[in-house]
Amino acid sequence: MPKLADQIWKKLKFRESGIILALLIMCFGLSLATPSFLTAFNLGMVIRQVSFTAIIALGQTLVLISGGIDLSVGGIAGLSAIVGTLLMTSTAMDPYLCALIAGLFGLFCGLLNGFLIAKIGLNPFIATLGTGEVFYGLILVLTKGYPVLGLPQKFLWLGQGMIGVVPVPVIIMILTAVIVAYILKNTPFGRYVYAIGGNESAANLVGINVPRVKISVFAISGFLAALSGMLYASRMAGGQPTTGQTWVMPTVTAAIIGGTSLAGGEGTILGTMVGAILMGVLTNGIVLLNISSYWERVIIGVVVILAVIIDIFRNKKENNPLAFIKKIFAK
Amino acid sequence: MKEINTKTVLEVKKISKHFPGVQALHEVSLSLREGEVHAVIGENGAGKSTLMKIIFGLLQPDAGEIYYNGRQVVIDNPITAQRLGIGIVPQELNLVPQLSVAENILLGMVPKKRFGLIDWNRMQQDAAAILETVGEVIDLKRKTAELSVAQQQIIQIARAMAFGARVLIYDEPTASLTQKETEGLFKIINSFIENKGSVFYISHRLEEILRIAHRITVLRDGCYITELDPKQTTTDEMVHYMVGREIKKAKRTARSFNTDQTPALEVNNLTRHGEFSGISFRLYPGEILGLAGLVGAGRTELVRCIFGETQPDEGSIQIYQREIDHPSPIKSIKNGIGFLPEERRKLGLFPVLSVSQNMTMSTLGKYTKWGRINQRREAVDVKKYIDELKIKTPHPRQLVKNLSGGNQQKVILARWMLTGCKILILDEPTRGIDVGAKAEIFQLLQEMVAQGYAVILISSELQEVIDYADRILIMHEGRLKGEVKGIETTQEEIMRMALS
Repeated sequence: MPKLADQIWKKLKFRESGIILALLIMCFGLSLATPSFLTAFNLGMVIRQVSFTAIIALGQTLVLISGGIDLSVGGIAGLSAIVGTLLMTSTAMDPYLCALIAGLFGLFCGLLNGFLIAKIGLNPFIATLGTGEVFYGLILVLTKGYPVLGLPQKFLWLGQGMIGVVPVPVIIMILTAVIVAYILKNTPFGRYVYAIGGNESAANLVGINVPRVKISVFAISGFLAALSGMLYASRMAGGQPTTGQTWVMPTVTAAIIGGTSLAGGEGTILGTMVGAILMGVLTNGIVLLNISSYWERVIIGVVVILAVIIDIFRNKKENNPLAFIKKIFAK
Repeated sequence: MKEINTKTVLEVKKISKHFPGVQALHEVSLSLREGEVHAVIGENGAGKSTLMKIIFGLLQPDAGEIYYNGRQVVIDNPITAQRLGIGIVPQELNLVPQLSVAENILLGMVPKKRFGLIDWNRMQQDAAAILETVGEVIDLKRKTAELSVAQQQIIQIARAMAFGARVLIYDEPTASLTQKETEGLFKIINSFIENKGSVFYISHRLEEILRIAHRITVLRDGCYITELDPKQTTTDEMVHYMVGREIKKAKRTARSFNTDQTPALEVNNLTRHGEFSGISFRLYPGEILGLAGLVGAGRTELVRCIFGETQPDEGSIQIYQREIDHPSPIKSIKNGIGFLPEERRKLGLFPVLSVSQNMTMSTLGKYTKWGRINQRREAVDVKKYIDELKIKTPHPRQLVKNLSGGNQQKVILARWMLTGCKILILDEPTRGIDVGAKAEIFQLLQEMVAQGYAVILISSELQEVIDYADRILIMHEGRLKGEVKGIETTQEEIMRMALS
């Protein structure tokens, strides 16, 4: 029945289907290539590894959809982790209260970004590049480069504990993803984020409070970065001064691979999650296949560029991939 | 009109082009003779632009052949087209505003000295020579951004000439020109064809076409319909072939409304330095108030200020006798103003969002409970307006960028109707919209006014304002020059008042 096949095909042809397919093929290939891939231990490790940057990538997705970019998420994550762990070690407060304060601190950093961008009018790239440096710098000012150790035992559950067979950070990642996806899809705020990214001038003219939405988006991004920073501190049983230094690129990458447009206005949380997991599996595969880890960044860079090319290809709606490739080379 | 040479310069045979969801062109054949102006007309979506883009190499046809001077050619990109001698003057000019006039004219073929340095002297000479063939005098050193639209268009023409164009495609060249500037353009076109150039001319302004064209081809829904002789045809006949049905002009009724009632909007001595000054008027419920004037008269600036996009330097705005201080779009919408901006794509639409999402963007609060949008209730309203305004879309979830101009405009109108606004400001609502959609939009406006809406209408098509506005305010260079009644006035009177 061709009609049924047609219908199934239509259902499968949603926005993220391409990248999900890519992920499945990769997993299939890896499970054939090495028996150690498809084990509960390995998969659990991959997904936990991914969870730290994936949580930040959720906020990054919001920022990207609104037409901005947040390069300070690494700095916010690191600085919040230091602020939170310092509070735990130097005061008698409950560690989870300290973690909450650190979260609010991250939110505040995000507000600062948003204020610079939406009210003063800085370009988001420049503004967050600058504030990101400030946050990294403050980490060193606060720690002199030494890790903050001696966290309360109670706090380590957050990053190391399990609920059933699932690590706590993974559960937190899934929960946040569901919440952010819900907000994007079902609230006026979510619509406004898409609207501003799609056409900021028009958004202003239909009565959207553009600065407020933009500031909120950066604040959410800051909060999620801080949350991730705290999870990582708990996982590492200490506030590492290097926390977050390599996190910016993976968050942007996950979103872009997941189909979020750098120009704003387009993107989904599902896409970002799949993108993040795909990056995790890729890294994992490089380790399992005994490829020299020196190649890791090269491969990831190539994958990002491929993903963006595929995105262009999809936007041009060329029906014939071969014709498209021929056209590129004809130029 | 001069005797036409029978030599065919360009010929397209059985060109077809398919886009996802539409057959944009279906086996269209067309030829262009030396020294002729060949007008191509049709509603939006008829396939004119697609055909011209194929001829200029911006799109590739799915089937069909193109012949240039009798030789079959493949035009795979605009550079090939320019080498053959085909140039285009697009509707949206593509000049670099920061560069000088000379640089823009010679863009892509800048004369060079040794070491690849630009030969500025030769550049001035070359540019001057080209401008002379066009018959215009523009200071070559001026920045292009400082020029009027008409002058920028001349530069665009000059650039095509610089490439040695023998065939020029004009896409809606007069859309933002004044009457006088249009005359100037016609002079340029005439001298071009006297020199054995050939022109494809696309326009919605049918009177113009009757004046300038030697031949008229009508396209409808991607198909060739007929060829008309401008000496024998009439605008009514052209419209008839374009739409394939008779257009009923919305009937003109002199509405009576009471000027003793509370004005919906009152503007007193409104001034924004450099844009407009000392503007005072009242707008009553149930009337259409036209704003007439030449391009650059300050009409758009005035309504943007009234809507709160910009702040006035002096004067006051009152809505139902309540003074609004520091107007902003958010406040204006709350106070019941809706604004349909001039540049639909740039200021009105969210192209990558759906029809439904575009429509409800200003009224999401209505459907929201506990922070959640009730999408079922939203869909009910959207469907109601799609039916009521006859918006042609396969589905409410269709991306709005895939709709035709007229339907996009209706989506924006629906957006404002949903807000329950009382005052509607329409800035060039019919620009780039086909005849059928125009009639429908004005029909809709009449109904809205009958329900008590107060409407401000800006249009560069003077006849439109005269046909539909109750009163017309005439603006020139930022000032009000007078007021006339729509049923009593003529285009000539308005022009006289504007320029007096």
